[in-house]
Amino acid sequence: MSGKSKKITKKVLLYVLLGILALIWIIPIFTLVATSLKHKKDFMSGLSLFQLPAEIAWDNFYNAITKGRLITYMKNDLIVSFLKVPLGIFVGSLAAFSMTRLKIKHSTGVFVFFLIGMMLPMQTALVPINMIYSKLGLLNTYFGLFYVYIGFGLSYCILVMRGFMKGIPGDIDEAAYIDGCNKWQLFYKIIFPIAKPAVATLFITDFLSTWNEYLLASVIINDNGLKTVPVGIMTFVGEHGTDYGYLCAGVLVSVIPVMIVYLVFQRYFVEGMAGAVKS
Amino acid sequence: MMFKKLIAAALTGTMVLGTAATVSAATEVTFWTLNTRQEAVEPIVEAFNEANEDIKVTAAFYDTDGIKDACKVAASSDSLPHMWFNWGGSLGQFYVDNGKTYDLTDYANENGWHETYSAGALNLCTLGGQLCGYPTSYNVLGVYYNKRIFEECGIEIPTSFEEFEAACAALKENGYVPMAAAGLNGWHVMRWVELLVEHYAGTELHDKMNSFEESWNNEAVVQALAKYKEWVDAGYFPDGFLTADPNDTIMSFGSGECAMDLQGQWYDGQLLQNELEVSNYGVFAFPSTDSSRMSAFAEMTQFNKNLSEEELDACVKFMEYYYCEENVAEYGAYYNLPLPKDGAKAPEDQLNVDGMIETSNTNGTFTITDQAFPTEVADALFNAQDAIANGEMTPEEGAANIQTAIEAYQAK
Amino acid sequence: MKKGKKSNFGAYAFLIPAAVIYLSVIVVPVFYSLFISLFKWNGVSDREFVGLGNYVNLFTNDPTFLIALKNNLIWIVLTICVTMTVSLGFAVILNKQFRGRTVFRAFFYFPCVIAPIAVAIIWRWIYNPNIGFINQFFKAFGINYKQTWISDPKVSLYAIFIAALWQGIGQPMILFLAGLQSVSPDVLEAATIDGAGSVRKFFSVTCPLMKETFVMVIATLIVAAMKVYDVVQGLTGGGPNNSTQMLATYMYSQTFQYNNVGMGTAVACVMVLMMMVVIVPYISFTAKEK
Repeated sequence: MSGKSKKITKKVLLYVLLGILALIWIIPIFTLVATSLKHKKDFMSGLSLFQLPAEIAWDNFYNAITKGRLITYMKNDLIVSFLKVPLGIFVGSLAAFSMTRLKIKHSTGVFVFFLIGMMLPMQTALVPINMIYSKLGLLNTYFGLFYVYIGFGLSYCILVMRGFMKGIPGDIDEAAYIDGCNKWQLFYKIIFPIAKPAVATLFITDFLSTWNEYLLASVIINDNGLKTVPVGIMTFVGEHGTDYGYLCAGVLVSVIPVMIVYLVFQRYFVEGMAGAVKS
Repeated sequence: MMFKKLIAAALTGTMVLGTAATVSAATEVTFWTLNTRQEAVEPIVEAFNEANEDIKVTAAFYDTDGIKDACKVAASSDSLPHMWFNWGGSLGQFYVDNGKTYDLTDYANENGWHETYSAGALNLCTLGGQLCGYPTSYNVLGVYYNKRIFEECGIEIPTSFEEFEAACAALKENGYVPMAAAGLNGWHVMRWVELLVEHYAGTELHDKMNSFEESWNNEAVVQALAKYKEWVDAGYFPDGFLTADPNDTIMSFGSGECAMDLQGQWYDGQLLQNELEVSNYGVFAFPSTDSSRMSAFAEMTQFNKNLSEEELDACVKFMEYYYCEENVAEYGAYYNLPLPKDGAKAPEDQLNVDGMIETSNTNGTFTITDQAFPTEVADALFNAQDAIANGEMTPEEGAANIQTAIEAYQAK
Repeated sequence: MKKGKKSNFGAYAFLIPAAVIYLSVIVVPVFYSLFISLFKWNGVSDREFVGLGNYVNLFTNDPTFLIALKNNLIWIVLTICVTMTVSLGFAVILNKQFRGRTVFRAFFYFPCVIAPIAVAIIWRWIYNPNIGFINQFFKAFGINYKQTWISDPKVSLYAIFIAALWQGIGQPMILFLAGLQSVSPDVLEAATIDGAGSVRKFFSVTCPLMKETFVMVIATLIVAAMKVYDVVQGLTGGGPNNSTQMLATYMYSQTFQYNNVGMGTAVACVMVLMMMVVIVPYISFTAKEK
């Protein structure tokens, strides 16, 4: 049937398009991988940057993890991220919930007020936060770091959660109140589960921005045992020279947790919606 | 509630971390330095703390830009460490001008530093009339060249500016890029430009210009910038050098694409680290009209203004241990050698270093421009370099712009 | 938990944790910055009150600031026109049912998890005039074309933008994917029965239903465009000759390199004000119409 062959042509076209895009997108990624496999001397050989070396330098990965202390940095970053992300989403969702589903005055105004945080460049917060933190003894603590991160992540979190919660029909609330739910129950039994796709999205984006944050981490933390990945990665950039193989291997290793989080949470886009349709 | 539990857990976590610091009567001092030296500083700190029960040193490590930001932020919120790594010139001077550094002049006089440390290094650490840091390295810059390429093209080490230009022309003819250059952040290209300024202005005028006694808007600067433009147009620098990373010049130099690179004596160490044969490379002082002076800069450890007497003693004691001969011998790769002490020698495999230091003693030195200038004036020079290379600015405009930036800075 | 009536206190209680954190982390620095921007200050010494002097100086006497402002505006237009369109396109394609969808999604998301420093290094090499990918690509096909890309002030901004695009589509793509998920298939089916073609269906059914997603994406893209820093700093450092200077890179130079903390903070305040001028009306407008 012509309908079927049309469908097949469409599929083929889709794959061709994806293939072309993937080809373009892969060039820089290939560069990164090829670089991570090179010895120092490969950079001096005049070998093109886009060729694999004759002798693959697996020890770049080994060195990045052991000598580069990536394990410690990744552990710290995981602790901070796994404290920051769920707490941040929780706090942000509560606020978004009250803005969209409870009758508070000037809810748009409150929302806009919370948005300003997104616009503040982090650099401007360095001095005041450092002043407060050094008085309170919060420098060089996990708490000090993830607390600031929650603050800086709130605006975005509220923006996303509010957008999503607004799309949930109001009838659900009425039905829940009739069933005897209070506000808190409405939030955590009904609205929050429906908002799963938004939570999953946030988890991915939030985790990523926490994982890769450099500026605040570099000022709040100077204890070696507490440093996070982006600050640690900078160790590979020297005063007079950079060990690129080592650096790129480190970058590739440090990407693994983010990709895991991504793969886990992107599944929930689909699932989360199934819940919404059911109700 | 999960939220409360987490907060509680977080708070106890913080408290545990807070109380983990040992309670003792030891003098505690903190030291911020570059993370490239971590491999040496960590074991040294450990050994030092073990040997000195009454002192406890804690070290923190930052990347090259990170330490500048961290110190500025700390200075603004009055939480500078007891001692921190810094460069000389305008970077170190900032803390002197704002009364954040300990003046070591008297201490140095009492303890005979003038006999131990080289005069050049002490000079570069003396800013605003005070000795504002413990000198940790003294760097001079010369022209590194590839001996094989020079031989192939039949070039002798140039002894005059004309010979240097002739050498460049010969190299270009033979298919080499004569000079490695990398303009990202400006300072590597500046190393060539400042030598041209030195050549056309001569030592006396150049020094006065660097201390802002004389205007930069003069014929010598115009000539220097015009010569620079001529070199750019002749293809003496690599294509697209304006945004190349200075840390990468070793790639084009090591692979033999470029024949010369303008670097300090640490470059021997870099060559070694990149598995290149140091004996294939030589160094000469850029031949400028007067005396072929080399540019120089210092690195130091600055001490906090508010040090108590015990803390000062502890800091100096630590520095002396850090820079003692045994540690240098053991962790040589993590120092900028030779030490800024009289009679200190470079490690044996760094063939060019001793010669460079000697040449700098005979020829004399001038302070490298990005340390002589405050950053905003240096940036005016860097912008002029970019714009002149791209043909957006004439050398005359460039010279005028630099002077304008100087006057704006002075009016501040 | 409080039982109960729709007491206002209950409603506000949900805001308290967010408000406490927000006030301490964001509001304090904002006011501090506004305050500092009224002074001439090097960060350490005594402050000298200059009123709006820093702002006046920026707009009347500082060509670099004006270049940065212009570049940021160009960047905003580019992100809205290009980044948003491209990421929406990716999301639509990757929302279709086909084998390997998860792999492709992960693949196109991948660039945005790479540390900015590595992105700058990779793209500097791609743009390298001699050994870089693009020029070698031309050479391989016998095309005699050489460009210095990021060193050429006429194209460097756009060259950096391409690198940013490569890295930046991941986040908006995720948002669009989540948005597309929230468009119920029933509605689309109804449109199909009404005889709407897939293009029309997309523009007249899907897009309006994703209004909130567009609000989010546009708002975050504008904010990100105003704050763009890492990729520019890494690739050109604002050069050559300030041609790629951005407000954020300029603020950094003023604050941390030139020790003009008051001036740098004023740049930051201008950034925040500009973002508010664009975003607040947009958000309030879309929030009002139901």
